[in-house]
Amino acid sequence: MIRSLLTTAAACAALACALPAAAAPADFNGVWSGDQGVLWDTSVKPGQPPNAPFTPEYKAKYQEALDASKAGKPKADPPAMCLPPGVPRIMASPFPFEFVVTDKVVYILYEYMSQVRRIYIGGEAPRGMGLPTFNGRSTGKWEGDTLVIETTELNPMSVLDTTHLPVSDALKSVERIKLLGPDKMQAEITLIDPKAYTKPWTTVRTYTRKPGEQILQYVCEENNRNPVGEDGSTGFVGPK
Amino acid sequence: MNSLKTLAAPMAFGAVLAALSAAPAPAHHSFAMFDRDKQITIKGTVKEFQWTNPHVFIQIMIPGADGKPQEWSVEGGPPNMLFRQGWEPTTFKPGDQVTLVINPLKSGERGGNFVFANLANGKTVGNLNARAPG
Repeated sequence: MIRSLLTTAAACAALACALPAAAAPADFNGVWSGDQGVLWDTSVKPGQPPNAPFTPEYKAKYQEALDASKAGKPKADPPAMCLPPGVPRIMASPFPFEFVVTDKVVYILYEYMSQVRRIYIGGEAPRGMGLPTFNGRSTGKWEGDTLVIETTELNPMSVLDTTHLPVSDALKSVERIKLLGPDKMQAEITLIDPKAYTKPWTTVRTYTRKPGEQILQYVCEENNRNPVGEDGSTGFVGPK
Repeated sequence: MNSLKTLAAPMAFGAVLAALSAAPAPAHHSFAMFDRDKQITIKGTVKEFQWTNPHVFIQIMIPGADGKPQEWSVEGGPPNMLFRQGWEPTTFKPGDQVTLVINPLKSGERGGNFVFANLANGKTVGNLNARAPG
């Protein structure tokens, strides 16, 4: 008996076969779709200014972006240039995403820009390149049935939404994700970014599970007829 | 026949438009190049339907002032979202006679943002991009 178990374990190790994982504290697996729009601050109505605790410098930066947009020359938005929306904005994606929960890594597979996040559970994330990236470096832990994700080393080129709500290179994003019901998920997303915001700024979003939904492939550069010019304005390629 | 006119009083389309355009924008880019305060109706023959990422395009031939057909480019939403709304690669086929309501390009060039269409088979299709925030 013991011998056969040992043999099985050895074979599994050799073949890297998956041993049954301990049950996760909450069932996040499946496809989810956001309930709110793409604007970052869910506490105000679309069109209203965000309730952001800006530092003076970043308030001015935001105003500059709003003025540019009003003048018909909006600042270049990374997704308009087919760059990833980045963390945490990707949680406000207009397209669905899929959670895959394993013991050591939680994967979030996003339809938008075909992005993947890896959240390393209960330990250290592999060392980064020393280069800030759109999805950063994420570690996670379960606090009861809540998954708490901390993400750092984020690219300050990202903005939070199409109004060009800024972040700085000091950003740490903390997401607290839990189920509100069998098919309802909530993410409390706190931005800790002392250069841009005078205090931690929390936004709450909810998501609905979509049984049977598939993640389709979204490729931004395939037939992109909306090139972004040097002045940040979006073009339109008409008939040849 | 006047094939290009401003919808000054879009009574017949108004209810349809309200029903089709209330959803948020799934676009990856700004809509600043379109005049979203304005809607025009264009009628013509589909030349090509580009069922492609990241956005679909309808290439359509519209009679110009001299009666000769001119090609227009009409941009729709991303195919993944439109597919979930029921669009198919065959929603527009070359040769189809269709009526499109679009937000025209501010530049005055022949193109615009798809709002909705009356298809050859009498059906109406909408587009989540219709009320995209700039």
